[in-house]
This record gives sequence, C-alpha cells and structure tokens, in this order.
Amino acid sequence: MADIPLDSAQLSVPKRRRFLSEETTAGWLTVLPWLVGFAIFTAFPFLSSLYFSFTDYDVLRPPEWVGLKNYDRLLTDDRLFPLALRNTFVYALMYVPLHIITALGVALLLNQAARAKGIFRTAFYLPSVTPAIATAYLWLWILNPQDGLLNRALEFLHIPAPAWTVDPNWTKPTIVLTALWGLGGAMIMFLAALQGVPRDLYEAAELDGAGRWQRFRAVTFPMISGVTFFVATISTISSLNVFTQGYVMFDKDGGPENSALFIVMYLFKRAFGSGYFQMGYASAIAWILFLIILVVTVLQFKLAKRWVYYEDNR
Amino acid sequence: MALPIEQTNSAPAVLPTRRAPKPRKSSFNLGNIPLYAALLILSALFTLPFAWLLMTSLKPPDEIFAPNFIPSSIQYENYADVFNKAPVFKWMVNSTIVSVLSVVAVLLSSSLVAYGFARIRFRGKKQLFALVMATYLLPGSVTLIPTFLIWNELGAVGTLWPLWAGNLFGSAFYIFMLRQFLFTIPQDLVDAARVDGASFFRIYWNIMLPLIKPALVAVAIFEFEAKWNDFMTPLIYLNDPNRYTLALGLATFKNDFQALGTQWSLLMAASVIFTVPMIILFFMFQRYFMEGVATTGLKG
Amino acid sequence: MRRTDLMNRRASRRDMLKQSAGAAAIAGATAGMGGIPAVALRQASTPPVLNTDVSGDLVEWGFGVAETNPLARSRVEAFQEAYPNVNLQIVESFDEQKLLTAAAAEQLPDVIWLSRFETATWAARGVLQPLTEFIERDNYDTSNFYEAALREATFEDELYGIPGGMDVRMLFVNVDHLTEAGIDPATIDTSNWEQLNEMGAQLVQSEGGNVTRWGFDNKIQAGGIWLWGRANGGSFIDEDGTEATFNDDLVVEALEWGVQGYEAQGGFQAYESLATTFQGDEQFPRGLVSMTIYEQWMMSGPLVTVAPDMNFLVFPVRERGSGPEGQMTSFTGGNAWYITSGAKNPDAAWEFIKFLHTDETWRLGAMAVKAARESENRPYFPSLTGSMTADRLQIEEIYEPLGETYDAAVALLPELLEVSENREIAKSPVAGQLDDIMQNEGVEPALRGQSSAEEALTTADESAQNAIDSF
Repeated sequence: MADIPLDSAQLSVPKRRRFLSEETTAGWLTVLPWLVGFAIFTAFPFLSSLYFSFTDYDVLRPPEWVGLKNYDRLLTDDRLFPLALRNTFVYALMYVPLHIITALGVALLLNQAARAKGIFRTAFYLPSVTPAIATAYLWLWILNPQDGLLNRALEFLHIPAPAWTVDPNWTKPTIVLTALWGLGGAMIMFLAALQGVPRDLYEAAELDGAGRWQRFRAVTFPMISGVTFFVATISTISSLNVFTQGYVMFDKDGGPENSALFIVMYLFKRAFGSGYFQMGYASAIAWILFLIILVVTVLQFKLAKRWVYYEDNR
Repeated sequence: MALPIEQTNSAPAVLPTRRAPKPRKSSFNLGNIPLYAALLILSALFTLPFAWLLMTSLKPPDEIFAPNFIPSSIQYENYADVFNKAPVFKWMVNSTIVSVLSVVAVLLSSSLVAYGFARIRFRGKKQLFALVMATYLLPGSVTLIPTFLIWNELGAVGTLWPLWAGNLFGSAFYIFMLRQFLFTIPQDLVDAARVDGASFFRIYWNIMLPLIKPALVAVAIFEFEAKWNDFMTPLIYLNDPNRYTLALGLATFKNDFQALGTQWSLLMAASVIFTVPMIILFFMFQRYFMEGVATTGLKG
Repeated sequence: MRRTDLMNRRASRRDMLKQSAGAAAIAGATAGMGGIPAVALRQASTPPVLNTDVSGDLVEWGFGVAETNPLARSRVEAFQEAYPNVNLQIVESFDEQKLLTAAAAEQLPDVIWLSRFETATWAARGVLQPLTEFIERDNYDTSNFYEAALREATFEDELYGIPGGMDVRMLFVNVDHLTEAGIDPATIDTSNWEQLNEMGAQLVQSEGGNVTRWGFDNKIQAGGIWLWGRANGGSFIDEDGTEATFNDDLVVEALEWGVQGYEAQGGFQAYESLATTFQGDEQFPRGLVSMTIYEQWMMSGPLVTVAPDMNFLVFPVRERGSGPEGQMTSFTGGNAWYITSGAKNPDAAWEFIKFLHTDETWRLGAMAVKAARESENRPYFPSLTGSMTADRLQIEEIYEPLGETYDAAVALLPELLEVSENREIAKSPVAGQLDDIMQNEGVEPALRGQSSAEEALTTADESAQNAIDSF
C-alpha cells in the first residue's frame, strides 16, 4: 500500500530535498489507518465525553449544560473522590516498581535457562490467563486473616501476621501482592527485548573484565531500556486505571472503609450503578483522571530522554 | 504537548546477524543448579492459582472448601456437565473467529503505523503520536455509549464486527509497543537499504517486520487473549446466543447454574475450559520469543 | 463476591435469577396445552383472557431459560407452543450498561425481566411503559399478587410490572448448636431483640483469639437494616418519596442494636475474618454460623446441597416487642416483567407476560422442576411466584412432605409473604443510590466504629436527601 519506489537507476544517493518530501508522504501513508479509525470511531466519543462532563446527563434524557458544576462538586464536595484518588496513587506507587522488577527478574532468569524453557515460560504466564474471578477465591483463602495459609506460615515464623483482607490498611498491599502474579505480559516483552541485545556487546564487555552486574548495567539495561520504558509507561497507565483487582477481591465499593475503592471503580459506579446513571459526573471524573495520567505520562517521556537508549538517532 | 522521542546516547552499530546469545544445550552444568532451583520454586508459586482451579474443578461438591488440595475422588462429570449443557464448541468457534481476525487486523495496522512513528521522519509526527497516546489515556467507560451509537449507525449491532473491526485501524497500545521495538533496529540497515533503492514500504516489510518477530508474536498473544477474555463488548453488542463468544456464553451459563445455589466445581470447570485454549496457544507460540531473530535471515 | 448473602444489596443479574428461579437441571417434557387455563382454584381469581393470535417478533431480555432452569424453560416452551405466530428471541444476560446503551440507540427489547426494586429507577427515566392500558383493556385481575410485590412494581400510581418471583427473609437456627449451648430453641422470641443478642453472645465460639463460629448473624451489614428498621417501627423515606428519613429515631435504635450484636460477639472485624472467604451462602449449612437471617432459598439451595440432614428451625421475625406470637414481618424482593417504552411489539409482550402468570402455566413449570429434581435425587421445593394462588397450588398439590422442619418452613412462606413489605426506598428513582448510601455512609461506619449509629445515619440522611433532590 505504501510502496513508493525510488528511482534507483538514477540515484544511488537521493537528493536531500526530494528524499524529504517522499519521506513525508510515506510517513503520512503509514499512519493513515490510525487517522481513519480516529475519524470514524474515536474522535466523536472522545469529544462527546468531554462535552458530557460539563452537563447533567443520565443517558436517558437529554444532557443539560451545567458548566463547571461537576468538577466543582468533585473537587470540593465529594468524600469518595479524593479517597479513591489517593487509593489509586498508593496502589500505583507500590505496584509499578514491583511489577517491573519482578517481571524483569523472571525474564532474566528465564533467559539463562537452557532446559525446559517453554514449560517455565508457560508456568510464569499461567496466572495471566487464569480468570481473576476464579483465582480471587484462592487468594481470599490463602490470605484469610484467621486460618489462611500465609498467616499460618507467618505465625510459625513468629512474624506478625496482618489481617490482609479485613484491615483497611492492608487491603491495597493485598491487591498489589496478588496483582504481581500477573507479570506474564511484561515478562514476554522483556524476553522479546532480551533477544535484541547484540551478543558482541557481551563479548566485548567480558573481554574488558566486566562482571555480571556490570554487564547488565552497561549492556543489557541500555539495550532493553526502550522496552523497559514502554512497560513502565503502560503499567503506570494501567495501574491508574485499576479496576478488576479491587472489584474482584473486595466489592464494588472497595471493601473495608472503601480502602480499595479506585478511581475507575468509582467512575463506573457513578456511570452505571443502579439508580446513578450520572454520565456527566462520571465523564468529569474520567477527564480529571485523563489529565492526571497525561501529566504523569508526559513526565515519563521527558525523563526517558535521560535513560532510554534508541537506535534511530533522529 | 510534545512527547520527546530523541535519545542522547549514541549507538554502536552492530549487525543483527550475530545477535541472540543462543544458550548452549550443553551437558548439565553443576553451576546451573541454583538457577534451576530458583526457577522451579518460583514457577511452582506461579502455577499454584491454576493448579488450584484445576483441582477444585475436579472435586466433589462437599470437598470444595476442604483443605485438601487434591480431590479424594476425581469428578470428571463437572466437565461433562459443562459440555453437555452448553454449546461450548459453538462459542469457542465464535471466540476464535473474533480473536483471529482481531490479531491479524491489529498486527498489520499497528505495525505499519508504529513503523511510521518510529522510523520515518515527517512533519507533524510528534503531535500525532501525542494524540495517539492521548486516546489511550481516557477510561473506556465514558466512551462506551457514543461508540455504541456509531456501530448502531453502521448497522453492525448484533454482529461480530464491533468485536474486532476497530483493530483494522491500529491500537494505541500496540502502536506504542511496536514503536519501542522498532527503535532498536540499527539505522545502518535502513540507510543501506535506502541506498540500494528500497522503498519505505519494502524496508517495513522486508527488514523491520522480520526483525521484530518476537514482538509481533507477543502482540498476537496479547490481542488473542484480550479478545478471548473480553466479556463486556460481546455482552453489549450481541443478542443472538448463536453468536455468543465463549466468555459471554460461559458467564450466561454460570448464571443459569447459580439457580441451585452456587455450583462451585462447575464454575471452576467452566473456568478451566475457558483458560486451556489460551494456555495451549501460549505454549505453542512462546518458542518464537527465542527463535524469532535467529532463524530469520536478513535480506538487504 | 463475598457478601453475596442476604439482601442482594449488591444485586446482580445472577442474584435475580437465583431469587426467581430457585431451580436447576434438566427440563422435563412440557405438556402441550391450549390457550386457556381451566383449573378452578380454591382462591377465586379471574383467569386472564389470552389472545393467542398475536404475531411477529418478540424480543425478551434477562430471563434465564437454560436447561438448568426448568421453571423458566418449561413455561417459555409452553408459550411458544401456544403462540405459534410469535417469534420469540431471548437474550439471557444484560446489565445496566447494555440497557442504557440500547435505550440511547433506541434499540430496546420488547419485554424485560428486571428487579422490582428498579421499577421507579427505569420508569422515571422513560425506559418502561405503564401497563394500565393493557390491564384495563383485558380486565386483567391483579388481586392475585402479593401486595408488597405490586407496590414495588408501581410508580406514581401506575403499575409497570407484573411480579414473577419473590424472595423473603427469616431466621434460620441450627438446633444442635443451641442445644449444645444449653438454649432451648422453643424459647426463641424474635420480637425480643435483647434475647437475640444474648443468644448470639452465648453461641459465639473462639479459639486462641480467633472466632471460629459466629453466634447470630443479623445481616445488618448486608441490607438487614431495611428489615430491622421496619421491625422496630421505623421508616426510611416519606410517603411520596421526596424526603429521606434515614436518621429516624427508630432506625437509629435498630442500627445501634445491630452494632451491639456484633460487639457482643467479638466485633465486626472478627466476623469479617471468619466470613471473608468464599463460602458466602454456605456459612450456615457448614456450621460456621448458628443463627442467621436469610432468604427462603437457603433451603432449596445451600442446605440441600451441603447439609441436607441438618437439624434446623425457621422463625419469622416479629415486630419488636410484639411478643412471641406477635406480628410477623419481613421484606421481600424479586423480579417482575416490564414492557419497555421502545417495544416494537407491545401486544405480544403483554400476551407473553399474561401467559407466564396463569396458574396453569405455573403448574407446568412446577411439574418440570419436580421432574428435574427427581432425576437428580433432590427434593422439590415450591418456587415463590408472586402469585398467591400459584404459591398455594405448589405447596398443596405438588410439594411432598420432607419432614417437620421443612414442612413447617414451607407452610410459613405464604403467610409471611402476605405481611411482608418491600424496601420503601424502591419508590424513588434513585433507589440504588439510596441503598448504596445507607450501606456506605450509614451502616458500615457504625459497624466499624468510625462513628456512632446516629452520626452515621445523619450523614447518610443528608447524602440521601441530596441524591433525591438532584434527580
């Protein structure tokens, strides 16, 4: 489709100007599918949700313009919104680093294994495909404060055992802990990235007498930094959008004292909870969350300049 | 907003023909024992949830909450019940159609768009990429209804189209992901190909795609799994039970079975039936993470 | 997940099915039948006039008609046989999102099976149409339905739904546990709340600081406030549904009592630690709780599955202070049939609703349930239909005695339903919000000791009033 042949018979090295304009055409042709999809399926819902955020709208009756009322109420007169916001940030701050470290750790271990690789990889990927609803029962059982396996083990070791699932201070760590089992996706990306690390670099580093850790820091990490950046960005975005974990482990209100009520759970309840249907209000929540994630993501891209290594120099 | 994509480090140019530290399948090495011990313990921990699910699905009803991990007698009937009472195969076929179409569509579209963003220089690129990312940041709950209205206008509500066809236009997540992988391909390769007169499309098809094969396999697995798991979209768009996907069908089926008090082992059996195809698929394709680059020669 | 127990306050489609169907397994053969039910019943009610000539497509949402649900399936099959010109399509699962999107796109089904609790919620927003016109046209007799069910299906003096199932709460008691603790079950007086809490404290068991068996589960954490508040004579909302009265003194008293009940047994966190796992509706049959408030389907479901031989008794809750033979009370919920405002074939929808509620159709359904139960060696229990005659018909003609305990409990059901009430707040278009507010701002903070019952209910009352006013 975007095949624009260069007249190679005439030009071994293309003239700069022509090269550029052809490149621009090719560039826009490559992104054309996304642009078409954006025009048909994305732009309208995106903009209408922004509009709804300034209205009173329950989907079933026409929206009514209320200006900044929804935003005002959210920021000044809503007990649950700031709580949900805080819960979400606390969760993301705990989850994202741990997620990256464990996924990368497992990928590095797997990368060294020569035998039964497929079995091991599948084993680590299993929790990512096992339905969360089914495994929630297992977790609630293992983490049961009274006779759960984990607390029995902790008691045996004389380590104080928290009331994981009923103490409001422990519900978020509980969710983080169980969510870490779902490292399969990030693990795959790291494994794929590790395949791209040139072997010569290791050999060169070895000749220079670099140890394991130095080789990781000087060779592996820079070479997989692009993918690490992707994993970090995506898992930040997805953890700020966390929904299923809180819902499945606790309930739609986030368990004891709403301690596991996350933003998107709250948004969902306002939008689709029986007797709520406050789509305008929910849209305002969504756009505040959008702005927060946007700021975080831009920061991540800015910081990426300092540590992410790209091949394409342009 | 500008999302900076420049990097500051300079790149050592290495031809990828010598990549991929192929682990030697040498004789067993004593130094590897700690590695395998760690892997065994960790993978046992990660296998636990599924193993528990499997064991519970085989238990007789009065043992569901008993502490024994292994059932005292194996109840295959739980599986027979699910297969006999629900058109599982029909739902599986529907899910497979949706998932495969989604994967093919998203691979072609997202990789092309990502290639443009990663390796072609054109005016407006940064701004456009920022827009792509922005669309990914808004929670889907608030765009659900307008999106439904569009599909309704297109007359596609009740068909399988809304479940996959959006993928024809690329997906922000995969565009971003593949872009990151495309960045790692040495520029020398591209320059050489350009000098030889290769078009941008030829570079995309003959150089880029083969080199990011592991990432493409990862995309395929992610997307297959995402569509296989998707419950909400089929629930909202489908009406005819003959078109139900497995996720929606089994959820409906579970509801039916709730009627007599919770049938735990049956629920677990349905979950296992739901999960196993994804496990098989993963196991079949996971080797490509390793073999991708090494087996693909380079042309150009 | 957890707390799927009592009051379905976190009601899902699943729970609704549970309430209405109370059934599973293979459908029995459905006898062919003509259009007009002819059986004379003890209680006179006018059988509806059916018009089997209606035709066209009919789209229904929400009714589970799988093999596992003979009560629903057999009746729907009978409908299809009696109305050969109607092309019925059933979409078993839907949720708020699907209904909202469909309404926005003007793609509503003709007829839906919905919790009566949501009658005002959807009617006030124009998704449902009143049945008045149909009822008048056909002289349809509604006197046969329980009052609470009709009341809950009514919005602004018009009937929107025809009840098709009911659930009702009562006290289940594990007799062996009581005997062990030296309590004579015959002394239980559910109008004496102090006694109930004392028994709870007496029955609770712990081991090394951990509660291992709960004494009395009043379910106030799971919607029980609607029951106990009423049993104490309190009210939650005024007559026309415009003013919330969550902090009514009598409601406050009920919540205080509920909280004391937990404190006397070791506190709410101790209860949660015990109950937090996935055993949900099986705590009572598994002997983890000695006395509990629960819906009637405890008997046909968990008890029969887990502990069919359990020695238990069922007591109705009585109004506080009314004495051991005092006024029974409970609250009831369940589903009803509604015709949507976007129905393309309202006549067929109305025929469908009428047909499913004739005594003859109910008999057919009950026989199918019985056949299914027999084939799997489980006992048959009557389903609560919302119709007085159909309930009695099942109990008197189809139910076979199962022993004193079960028989007494089954016989109690129609009596209890006649005096039961629906949740008052259902009359408000923001009923779901009010339920949520009561739970999150009223009951839970009090149970967790974050604030007193009175403070919590006052906060909840303000929020509830806001919710009502901003609709």
